[in-house]
Amino acid sequence: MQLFWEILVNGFIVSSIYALGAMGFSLIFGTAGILNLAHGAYLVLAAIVAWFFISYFKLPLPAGLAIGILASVLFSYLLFFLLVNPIDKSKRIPEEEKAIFVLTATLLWSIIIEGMLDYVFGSTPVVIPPFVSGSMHVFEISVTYNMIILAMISLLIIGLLWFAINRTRPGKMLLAASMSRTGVAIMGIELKRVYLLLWGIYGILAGISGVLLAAFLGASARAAPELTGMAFSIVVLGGLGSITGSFFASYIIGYLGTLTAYLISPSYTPLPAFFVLVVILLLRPQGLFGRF
Amino acid sequence: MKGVVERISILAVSALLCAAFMGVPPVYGAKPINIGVIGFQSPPPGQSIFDAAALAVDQINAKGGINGRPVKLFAYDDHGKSADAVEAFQRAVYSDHVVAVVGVWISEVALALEPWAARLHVPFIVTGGASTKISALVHDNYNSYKYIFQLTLNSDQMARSIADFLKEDVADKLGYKRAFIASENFDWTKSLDAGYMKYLPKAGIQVVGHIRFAPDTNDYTPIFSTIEKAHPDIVVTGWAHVGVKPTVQWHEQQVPVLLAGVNAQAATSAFWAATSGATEGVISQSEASDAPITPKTIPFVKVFEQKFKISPAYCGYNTYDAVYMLKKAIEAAHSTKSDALVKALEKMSYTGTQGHIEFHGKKSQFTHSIKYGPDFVTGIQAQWQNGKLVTIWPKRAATGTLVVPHFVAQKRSAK
Repeated sequence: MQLFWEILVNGFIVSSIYALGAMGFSLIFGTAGILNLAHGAYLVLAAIVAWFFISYFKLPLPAGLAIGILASVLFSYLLFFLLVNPIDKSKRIPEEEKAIFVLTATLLWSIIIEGMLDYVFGSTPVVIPPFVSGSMHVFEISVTYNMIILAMISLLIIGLLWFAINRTRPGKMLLAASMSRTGVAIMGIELKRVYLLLWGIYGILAGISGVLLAAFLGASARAAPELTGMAFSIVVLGGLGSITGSFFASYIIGYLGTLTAYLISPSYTPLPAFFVLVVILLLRPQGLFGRF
Repeated sequence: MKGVVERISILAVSALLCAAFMGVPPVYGAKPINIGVIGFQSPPPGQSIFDAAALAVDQINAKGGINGRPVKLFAYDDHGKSADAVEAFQRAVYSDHVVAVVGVWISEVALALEPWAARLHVPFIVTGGASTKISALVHDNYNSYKYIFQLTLNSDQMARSIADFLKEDVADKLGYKRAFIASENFDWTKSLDAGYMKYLPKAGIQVVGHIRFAPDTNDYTPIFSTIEKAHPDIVVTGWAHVGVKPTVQWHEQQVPVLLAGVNAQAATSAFWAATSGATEGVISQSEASDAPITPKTIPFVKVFEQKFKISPAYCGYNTYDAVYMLKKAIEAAHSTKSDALVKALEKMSYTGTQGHIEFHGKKSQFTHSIKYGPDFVTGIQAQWQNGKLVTIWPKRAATGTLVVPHFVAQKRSAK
């Protein structure tokens, strides 16, 4: 019985943090049609920058986390202004090849960020100090307050994102842009404003999930590809671009990983996610929920 | 008038040049002796290899070099990959004409380089990789592999050192007699775990469980859950590539067991910041520390910390000693020829930063590995206490005593 509760509770916490990690990836694909292969690099960038300011400049935790998130927003805009926008505007690249150019650009951007972080901070993982210390006993098992708070913050941010997209004017603008860019332009909305909003939200989402992940699992530059892979699996399983799909897919992937860790071996935790990715690509390419 | 200005100008320029070169070290006319250092630069233990080699070479050159010849160091980052290391080794020998190579942090990489050291007849002193296979290859193929030396405690010796410490300071004094072995899945931990299985029962400690995990494991909750179910008193670790994540999660989840064994990253001062202080109470084995092990240990640590703003990792001590042993070998052999260097190293008896160093002979199962014991090298155990690494074992070098982390003591007394 204890094992059951361990899987249930830990799976829920891990899945909730994964869900937030996949939100930005899903949003940027859903709205701009971009598969951002630098996603994992953004998570570790925010985490390592936050850790650096907390550890070396002895900044209070919230200030350090804010700087980490700001770094993610800054790099998010850099990616947009230096690579994505110029490729989108280029007349020398055929329209049908632009997506592959952007995909390649994000991959290279990821390698640049990883290399830079590795060079400056080294490959040793770093961990952001816990938000609160101590643990409690629930259902026969011990859970740290920090893990509970991380899961709660993740769910709160996801809730806020859902509300912002579905219930606010800027959010509806993003939703409309995901359905038809031309339609948005005809409505008199400047597309560039939409993209500025989108990349800003993306930077914030990636930044928050990065610092939360690092407060639980730690972060290092070398973890970036695995994090991108995890977000990719979740988003493909849920349906590319579907935020609701990504949310539920996170729990499927999270629980599969937790079951594997407890029942087989922790060494094989990420394997089911990638196995599911292959199966879904073959059997249901549109994912569980299709595209929103 | 023009001539006077010209002469004053020449004098002024000469004076400036003299002033500029006043602080420059002696200029050697002799051909330099080239030494190569190969390692994985990114993690702190890997960086320690490069820093220690550079420090030793600087000191040797400042004191006149070797037999009047300056030493030139060639550094190569292998990025933790065997292919890069093999390429670096070939470049070191063919292009940079090194007389010997030191370094390498990862056992798998050292094992990949051994055939090349044998083929190219170049002395290669391994200062990081701890697998017993490194010396086993020399033992089994002595004539061709005699060029390889292992100047680090091998995994079997590490296990022995840890069992000796646990018996004296933990089992006998605290009554903690149940151990769970948790090691990362790499070659060096295969012989380490075998050593734990052999030496822990001899030390009166029962092994109640054993787990090996992938080095890219992120969430250690299931591992600690498995461990707790076996009710051990101590988790005996075999960690070098991992360190931060399991240490932090042990602290976060307040797992009520003592964390001791090899936790290589925990033996440098950078670990405190990387874990945000969660390493408090962690015990780790190392070759040496900031303790009076030999008269050379503390001066080395002080200079190293002053220069690099970080304490040396275990392989930093080893590499520093390796470069000085090469110097001594070249002086003794009056030659840089490989066979002469091998003979000089085999005969050498040298007091380094980690103890008295002698290599095992060809009949030993650990051919060309260093000798273990109170008269040679035993390694040390250091514990993080209030943000500082305190040496707690062996007694002759200890600067403090073991402190049981508060949550371990509390939970144990509650039980």
